[in-house]
Amino acid sequence: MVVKSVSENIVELKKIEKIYKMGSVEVSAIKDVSFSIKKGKFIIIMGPSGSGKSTLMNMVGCLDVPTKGQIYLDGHDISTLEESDLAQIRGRKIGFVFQKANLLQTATAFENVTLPMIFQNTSKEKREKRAKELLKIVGLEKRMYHKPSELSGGEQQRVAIARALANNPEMILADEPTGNLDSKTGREILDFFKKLNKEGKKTIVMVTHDPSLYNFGDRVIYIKDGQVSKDGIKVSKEGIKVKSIV
Amino acid sequence: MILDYFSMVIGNIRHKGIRSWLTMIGIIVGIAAVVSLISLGFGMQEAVLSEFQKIGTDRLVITPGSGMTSTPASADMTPSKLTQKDIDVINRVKGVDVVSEVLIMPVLAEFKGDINYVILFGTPVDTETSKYLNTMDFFKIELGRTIDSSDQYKVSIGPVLAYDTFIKDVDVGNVITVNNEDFKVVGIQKKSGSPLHDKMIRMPIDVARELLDEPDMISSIFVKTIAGFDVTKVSNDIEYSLRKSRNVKVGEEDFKISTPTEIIERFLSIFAIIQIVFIGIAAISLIVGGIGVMNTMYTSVLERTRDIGLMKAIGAKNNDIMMIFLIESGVLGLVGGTVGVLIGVGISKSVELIAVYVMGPGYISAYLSFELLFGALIFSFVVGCVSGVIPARQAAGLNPVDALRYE
Repeated sequence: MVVKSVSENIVELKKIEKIYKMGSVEVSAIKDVSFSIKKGKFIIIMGPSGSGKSTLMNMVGCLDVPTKGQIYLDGHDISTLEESDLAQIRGRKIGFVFQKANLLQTATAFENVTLPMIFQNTSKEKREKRAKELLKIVGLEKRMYHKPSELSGGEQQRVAIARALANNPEMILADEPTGNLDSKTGREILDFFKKLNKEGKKTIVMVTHDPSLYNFGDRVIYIKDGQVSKDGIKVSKEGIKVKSIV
Repeated sequence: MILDYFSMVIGNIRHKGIRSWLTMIGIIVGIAAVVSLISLGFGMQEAVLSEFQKIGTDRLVITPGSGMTSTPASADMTPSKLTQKDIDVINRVKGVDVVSEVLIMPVLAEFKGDINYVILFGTPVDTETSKYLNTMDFFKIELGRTIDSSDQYKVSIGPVLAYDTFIKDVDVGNVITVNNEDFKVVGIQKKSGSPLHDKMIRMPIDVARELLDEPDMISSIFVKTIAGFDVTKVSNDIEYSLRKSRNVKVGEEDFKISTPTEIIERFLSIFAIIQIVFIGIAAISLIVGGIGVMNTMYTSVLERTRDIGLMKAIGAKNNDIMMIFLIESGVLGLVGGTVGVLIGVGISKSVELIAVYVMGPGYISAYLSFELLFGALIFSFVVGCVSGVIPARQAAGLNPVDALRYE
């Protein structure tokens, strides 16, 4: 079974639980969640605020480990790894795009894109070439040496996407990537993700609470109260064919 | 990788502008204090040591009185307790080559209507003693000639007396008046760097005694040992003989024998204490500076919590974050140290210039060695790094999820 998941699934979650301790009270953020994500798919994780979707994404992205259960990334159990090992995996296999671009304000767009490659010990020559290519792909070749404060919100988010692609990861995790953008710019960013998925063969996992975005995914996973309430496979423009598991 | 961290860190430090400079003030003050105090301390030490080396290490100086005397060069200015009998006693000690009594006394001298204090040196002028005395640095002649046994009211003078004491310069052939007696200058001595000796007026000791009306006065006795004899042993033998002839007990001597080596050691131990005090003062400033750096680094960790979370999300390991923050605090220390070294060099050079202007050359000179300057830079970097350890550990230990959520 594990061998099969190596070939098909990039991520597999098995009976995941995440419990936070707040003083003496234990709060269960994720309860018994299991699902897998196939390589090359565009997955949308949807749910209301506080539903636990960001917590789930953090665990899928190796930013956090579950209290119980296993997470397999490319067939390897990551749920018991140390922070430094997780950092290595994140750097190589996963690209993050957040609601805020989270760029280093003291560095230029170009320097921000080279940052993940510095942590992977990529040679200076290679990373400069790669950063220039990526900034060209996101249409910022003329804004390369500008600092974030000199870029618009949409431009900053495009720099963040270029940064997420720096180490050529297999999977991009996007947490509300259009949440801070106007609808036109948001649409451009979403189209870019779509292009990355179709042409770049990247697995995309996007977290959102905006129901109008479900159309962008191959599959929508609904999270409610820390559990998967619906896990569906979209089949037509009219709607989604929902396979209810609750 | 480290180089990339350096350029990242320099960007951060520049971004903070004036705050970075304020952080560095403590380090700047500390290092400036270290550099200026130590260089001036060493400079003074060097000046004193060279003073002794001018006398020579095979020489002894016997001065009246007990306990701490001033340098053999300046001798004791108290009325003489040394006598001709002492000289005879010393002459009989094994290993003694030449014995020369010297009379040293500050006197008022007049030149072309201008009156000033000068230091009278009365020395024997017989051929054998002159031969020995004339090998001493401060008796060497630059212009004219040295005084000899045929001279009576003739003198040689130090360069400071010649050029920097009276309104007009004194030349060979001029006449200087001391106690209403005229003395013809026959020679001007070489500059020795010793302010006392460079202001001397040297004349035959008999003439000096007559002039001062002190027929038996001896300020110091200079002794040259025979080559091959142990100076310390000769010194002990002289002490024994003098104690016996002057009828004093051990520990109650009314004379003092100084060997240059012993005096050098005594001065070195005094200077060691002075240096420790200097370093203590500087260390306090550096500790304060280090706390300043630590405070700034803590603030920096708080301000950049989101950046830390982001860097971790995109692959930075705990060690990478730790390294970035340590380099930042180290660079703050190093830049502060560099500015401190420059200011310290400026201060010590200024003090040296002021000392030369006010007191003349030879008192204080800044001793700026490569080891001192390089050591100060390394030390400032280390102080910075050490101050950054705890904040850097805090930064490295942040949970990426919490850090990214930090507002």
